[in-house]
Amino acid sequence: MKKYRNKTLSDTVSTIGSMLLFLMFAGCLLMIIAVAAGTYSRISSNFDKTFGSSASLRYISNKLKSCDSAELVGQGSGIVLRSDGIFDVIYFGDNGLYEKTVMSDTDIGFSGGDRIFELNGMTVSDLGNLYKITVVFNGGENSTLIRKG
Amino acid sequence: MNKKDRLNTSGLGVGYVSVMIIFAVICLTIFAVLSFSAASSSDGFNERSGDYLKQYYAADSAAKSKLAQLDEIAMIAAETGFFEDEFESAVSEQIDGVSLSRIAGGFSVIWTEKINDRQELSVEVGFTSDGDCEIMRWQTGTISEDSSDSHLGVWDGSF
Amino acid sequence: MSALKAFGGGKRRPINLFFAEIIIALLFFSVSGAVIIKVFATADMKSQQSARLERVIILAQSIAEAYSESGDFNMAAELVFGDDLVVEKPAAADSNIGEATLSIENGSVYLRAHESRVFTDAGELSNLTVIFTANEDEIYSLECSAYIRNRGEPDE
Repeated sequence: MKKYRNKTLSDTVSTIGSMLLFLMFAGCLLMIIAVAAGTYSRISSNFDKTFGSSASLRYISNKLKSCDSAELVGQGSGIVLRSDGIFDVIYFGDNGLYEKTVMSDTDIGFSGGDRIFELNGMTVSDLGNLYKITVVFNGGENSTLIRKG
Repeated sequence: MNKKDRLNTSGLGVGYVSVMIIFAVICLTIFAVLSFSAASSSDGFNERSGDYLKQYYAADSAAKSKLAQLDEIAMIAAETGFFEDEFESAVSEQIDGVSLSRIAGGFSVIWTEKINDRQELSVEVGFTSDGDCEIMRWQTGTISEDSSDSHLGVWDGSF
Repeated sequence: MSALKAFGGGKRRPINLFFAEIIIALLFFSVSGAVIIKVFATADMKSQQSARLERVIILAQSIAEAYSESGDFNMAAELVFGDDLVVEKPAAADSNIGEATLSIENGSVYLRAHESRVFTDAGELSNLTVIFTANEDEIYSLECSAYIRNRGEPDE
């Protein structure tokens, strides 16, 4: 108690000032960490977007370039690629791109495939000599053209 | 006033700020490293796919250049009236790396263009005696490895 | 020690270690922060460049595929860009060597196309080089070609 009584006004002001400075300092640090986390989150979502849309586009393009023949199914929400008598079905459903390999054309259907990409939409349209593949991911749309081979 | 009071009268203990700063620097370093790593991965992925695209279209262009040569030979051969003999001799003389096989009414010409160490563009074009041509195959495929190199490295029982 | 005394205000006031610590901590933070911010800035720039490169590669592939079918750059560009196409300098249709400059991605990226044609008796072999640039720097370039027969397209 004696100690408290001996404290001067300047000591009290110094303590409050230090406290305020400390709080301000802590606030600034938290803000900087939040900004850093936001930047990381933005870069990471960019990376996910790259993987989600362009990797799926490239995957389908490369599959189309290496197949014997291709046929659109389900009004463009799926494509059947035929190579050496094996049917590879790539289709969109349940917010994802699925793929399955079947030996007979009677098994072609939009079920039982393996989920290969997380997507919001995929359509393949016929433009005469070209196919237009469009994928939707995180609200963004990306499309590419591929020759019929 | 004892020694401790003399050293610190602010009411805040010594070390809190240091701990906070170290924590913040560690957090920021982790985020910076993760960000850089994500950006580098994305950049690397795009660079690889950009390089592949260049390699693919280089092979595609080489195949088209060969197709143009073959088509010209087929047209000239068709005009002579002796398509089969003329086409066969001209192709073997002028164009390397193609294999000819006879099909009904003409020839099937097969060749490959290397895309990279693992992939190739495989082309098959049919030429008929009237000088017409049909692209039967224009597709990428994996380069088939030599069977002597592709065996599994398992012990076969011999020493 | 004299420096520490200065923080305390000399003889009358005691040494305040809190202020000494905060100043040393701030010095350390400013040095490490500068390095960290540089890493962040590099990562952010790399990420933006990567996203742009990704879009450009997809566009280049679409142009190459459309060009392979038509052998006409103007037609290929129209097919790929549609209404977004802004032609700064169109390719000359009657020339053997054409050059076109397009503005894409809201003018941040330019596409320059060089087209050369070789005519044979049987058809026309044309080569196209598309170069994407931003701020005069090349981002990506792709060479592709098309073969168009005089006697009609090869059957596929």
